[in-house]
Amino acid sequence: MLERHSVERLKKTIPGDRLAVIEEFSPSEGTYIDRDAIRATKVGVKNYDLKKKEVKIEVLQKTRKMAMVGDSVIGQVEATQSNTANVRIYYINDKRSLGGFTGMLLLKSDNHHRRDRKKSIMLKSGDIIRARVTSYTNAIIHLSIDENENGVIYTTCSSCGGLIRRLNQVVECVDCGFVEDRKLAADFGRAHLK
Amino acid sequence: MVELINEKGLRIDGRGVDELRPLRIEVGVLKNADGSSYIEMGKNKIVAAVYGPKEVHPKHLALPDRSVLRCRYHMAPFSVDVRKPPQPSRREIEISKVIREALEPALILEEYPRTAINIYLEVLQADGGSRCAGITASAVALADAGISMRDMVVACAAGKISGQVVIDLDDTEDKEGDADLPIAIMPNLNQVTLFQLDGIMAPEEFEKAFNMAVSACHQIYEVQREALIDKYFGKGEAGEE
Repeated sequence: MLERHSVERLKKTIPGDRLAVIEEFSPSEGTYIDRDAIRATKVGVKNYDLKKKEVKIEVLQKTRKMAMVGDSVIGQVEATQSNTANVRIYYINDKRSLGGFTGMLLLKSDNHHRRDRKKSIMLKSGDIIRARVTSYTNAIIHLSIDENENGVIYTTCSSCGGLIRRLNQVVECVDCGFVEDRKLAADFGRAHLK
Repeated sequence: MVELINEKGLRIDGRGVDELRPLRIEVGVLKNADGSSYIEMGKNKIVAAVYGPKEVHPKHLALPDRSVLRCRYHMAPFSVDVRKPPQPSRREIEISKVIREALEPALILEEYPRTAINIYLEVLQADGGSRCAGITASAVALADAGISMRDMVVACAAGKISGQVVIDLDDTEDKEGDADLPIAIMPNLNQVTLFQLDGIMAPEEFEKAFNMAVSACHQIYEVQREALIDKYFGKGEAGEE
């Protein structure tokens, strides 16, 4: 009988290790099929699910994450046009992303929001926003701020750079009184970034 | 003329014909890289750093269906006995390409469309066989970065000196010898990813050299494996199957 220590040793795997044959298990996370064998693609611990007949690797590395459809991202607006904005992504699902990815935010033509319909994109360069990844079409990260919790979470006055305060769906500069339209997130001014 | 093998059959550094130089691999030596490693193979000292997957710049270089792999092999000015100018030389550019092509078959780049994965190799001290050591170190750094890989990649050179087939040539043997055969393999998949031959070998010598290099690669793979397991599971925990 194998001792516990030996069993633990047998679970450790690095890329290329043979995990199972395809007749016995299905490949899952961190694995791939090489002819009749299932092999590991990452360093980690082998995990065999005997009910589902699946084998996967519990990955130990902190892989740089890519934004996928459905992910919540936080980024800074780099440039805006009448109905698009480029956003530099800094956080993916509240985890810091150093990949330097950029996303594109498009104003939907069927948006029923009163101000969106009137005013185009309602963002300014430099705004920190939270958005949802809606698609990865043509490998471009498409973002949306339509949901209530998404939108601007931090901004400054575009006229004088001063602090601003919320007035419903507009913001007013505390210093110069300049009023601007913004699509604000529900937690505008209260969001915490790690 | 340097006597590369003495009457006892030993090489200038005292090794036998089928003996590797002392090898040490460390994983995760750089805090700011996504994956990194350090290799000492004889007097070779190389640091490998991997960054990515990250957005491609300039953007027109991005591929819609997979990641772009980029490699930069660079020798530090103090890595050789005569100062090497720091700008990339023709040799460094060629070796960068060769290393990239040796690693590419092992990576599942389709998992990271429209991104780039950058490998930086800094040769701090060179003593022959730095491309092989660089490939071995890069594979470990890629695994450390969590990039999906079909297999590890291990490289080692065989060659011919004083009419005898040997493995893991050092700088003197490389320069004074008759032939040099660097290869890289994916040890679990039994596939060759790099194959170069500089010099002349008889068919039987070539076969012997190739088999010796493959066998040396398998020895190096064990060190790679141990280094990765040490990093992620703690020392003394290496080994599997």
